[in-house]
Amino acid sequence: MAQEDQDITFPFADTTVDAPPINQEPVQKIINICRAMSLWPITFGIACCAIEMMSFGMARFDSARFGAEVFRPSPRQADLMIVAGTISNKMAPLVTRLYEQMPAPRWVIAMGNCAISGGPFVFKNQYGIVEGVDQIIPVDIYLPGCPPRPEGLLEGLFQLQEKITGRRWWPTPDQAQIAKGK
Amino acid sequence: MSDTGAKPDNAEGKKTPAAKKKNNGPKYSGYDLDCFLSPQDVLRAVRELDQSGFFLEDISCLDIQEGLFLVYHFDRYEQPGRVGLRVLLDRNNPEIPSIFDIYPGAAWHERECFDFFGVRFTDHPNLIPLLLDPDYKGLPPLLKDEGDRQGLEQILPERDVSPVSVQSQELIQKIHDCSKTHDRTQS
Repeated sequence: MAQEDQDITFPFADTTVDAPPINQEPVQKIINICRAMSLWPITFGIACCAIEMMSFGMARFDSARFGAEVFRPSPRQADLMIVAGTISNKMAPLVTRLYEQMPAPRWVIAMGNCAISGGPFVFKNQYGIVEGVDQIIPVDIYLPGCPPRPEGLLEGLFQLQEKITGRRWWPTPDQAQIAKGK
Repeated sequence: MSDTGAKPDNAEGKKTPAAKKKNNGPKYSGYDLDCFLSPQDVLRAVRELDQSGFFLEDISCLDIQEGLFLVYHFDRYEQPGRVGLRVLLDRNNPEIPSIFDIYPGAAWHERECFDFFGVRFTDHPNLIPLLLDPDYKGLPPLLKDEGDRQGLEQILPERDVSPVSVQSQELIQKIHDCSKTHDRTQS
């Protein structure tokens, strides 16, 4: 039986970043639009949500048309971490390390119930997982679902773009024009 | 294991000894040979299984009232026959020889049993946690509370739980015989 008051705490990631070299508002606004339209995710599929993330990157729900073109294996070359899956206690320090290796500005999407709050694996005396990745890294977008559909992940990407640039660029589902059949 | 597997002509509820016995055959239980051993006999029995061509399926553990209950499963490809060896260990000192020298694939199964139940396998080359966080400090997580443990009668009702001695040729003979088809068609 796992202890009631077990004390597994992992240090929160170090989020200090340097100021940008050109820190003027209009320049940053334009650069933010450029950044939002070319977010490069890290390949960080940990568990089942990774399957949905893979199909998000593949042909049908293509993420490349919205800018998430290449999934970089190295955190040094990425600016978006989509945490897709359950974070176990063994994995937690490594998630923090990868997050700290990403150069600023960087964003995090917590994909799926496990990354939001531990998901279906939370029970009394649970011994193995971190209940929500926001206990170790700062999260920008929470994406519920078990797993969320690829369209859901696309919507999360759009919300992140809205958060970065201040406006939404793509129609919401109720506004989208549905092609009428013959 | 109630008498729900009784034959149709026992539908009115008569329980003949033959019908009860039928529930323990290989088709129902999945074991052609299922016996209890004492911890010091395990190496000898496993060596015999290795020479008869069995491979190791898994090693798993259960926390029951009587102690820690290890189960080894073996099977083989060329001939039918599935063997289960059951060992009851004392909870205060759960030690058993490792079968790594005979089946190297047992290394990770034994590490998992050590990780989650605290069973110590002597002569294991690398007995460190397999799945849990290395910094995890606490009791092995799959040990049950006092009131939550079941007894052997609930898990394996109406079974003879006394260990079979490996010194007697009976166990060795059973290992060699467990592929005989006249025993296997019993359901």
